[in-house]
Amino acid sequence: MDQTTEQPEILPPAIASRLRRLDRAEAILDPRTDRAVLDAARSYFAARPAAAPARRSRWALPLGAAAAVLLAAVLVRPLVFHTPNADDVDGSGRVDVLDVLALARMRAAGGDASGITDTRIDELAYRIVALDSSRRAP
Amino acid sequence: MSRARVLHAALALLCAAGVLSTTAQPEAGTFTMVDVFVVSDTPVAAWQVELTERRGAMQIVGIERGDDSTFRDPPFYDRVALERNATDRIVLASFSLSDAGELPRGKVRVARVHVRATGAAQPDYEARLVAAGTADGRPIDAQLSLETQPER
Repeated sequence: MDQTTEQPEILPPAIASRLRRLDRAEAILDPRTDRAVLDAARSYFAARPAAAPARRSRWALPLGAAAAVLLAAVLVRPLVFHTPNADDVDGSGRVDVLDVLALARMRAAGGDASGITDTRIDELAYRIVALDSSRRAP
Repeated sequence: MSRARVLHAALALLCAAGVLSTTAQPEAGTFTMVDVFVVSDTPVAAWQVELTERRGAMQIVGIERGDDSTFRDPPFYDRVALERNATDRIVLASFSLSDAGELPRGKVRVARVHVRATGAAQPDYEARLVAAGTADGRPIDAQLSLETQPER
């Protein structure tokens, strides 16, 4: 016997008795037993009444549809309806010196009646040249 | 007073004068005028230009309008840019309400920027035309050019 790898089979009696108690034979289930249990389960569930339909509020469908339409409108609105930018005077889609010129020409043509002041023209002009994004025209 | 004391006092005065003359000297830097030209066959009523120094080492000390007196003097610019010791860019813009017949065309100097270069290397300027337009507000596809010359 190799003394480095094998140990004598000596266990304390208490552990040996516990192991003996655990060493029980497994119950072997016959296929006929399985089938009998399955048949009993089927006949039990066949005798039960059908499940009652889930109770649903009659407003659930219209409310859901309305919520979906509202959500779609909110999401699509910026794409369909372009929000006009007050600084985009010439409507080119960008704000630059041509908008300042357009504003100044409107003021020159309409005078005070145009409602455009020199201050507004200067403010727009300073916004288009601003280096910091917080002061820049969009 | 001994001769040694007089010598020490003279030396101290010389040192003090040296220190004072060093600190009183203006900071080193090259002053340059950068002229901005818009080139267009169509009379120019409005322009907007972005001037950039690629190394971010320019200090703008002054801005003037160009040759046409009907444009605002100086052009619109971000005043904060002049308060900075060094910046990499500035945006300039101006317009005129003159009739098309009175507006400049061809190669037009629209602005002069006085710059102090703060670095040792040569400044590397670049200009971009943001927009230019005619008297009736139509955009022009104009060209842009820069010319630099040292301050006299």
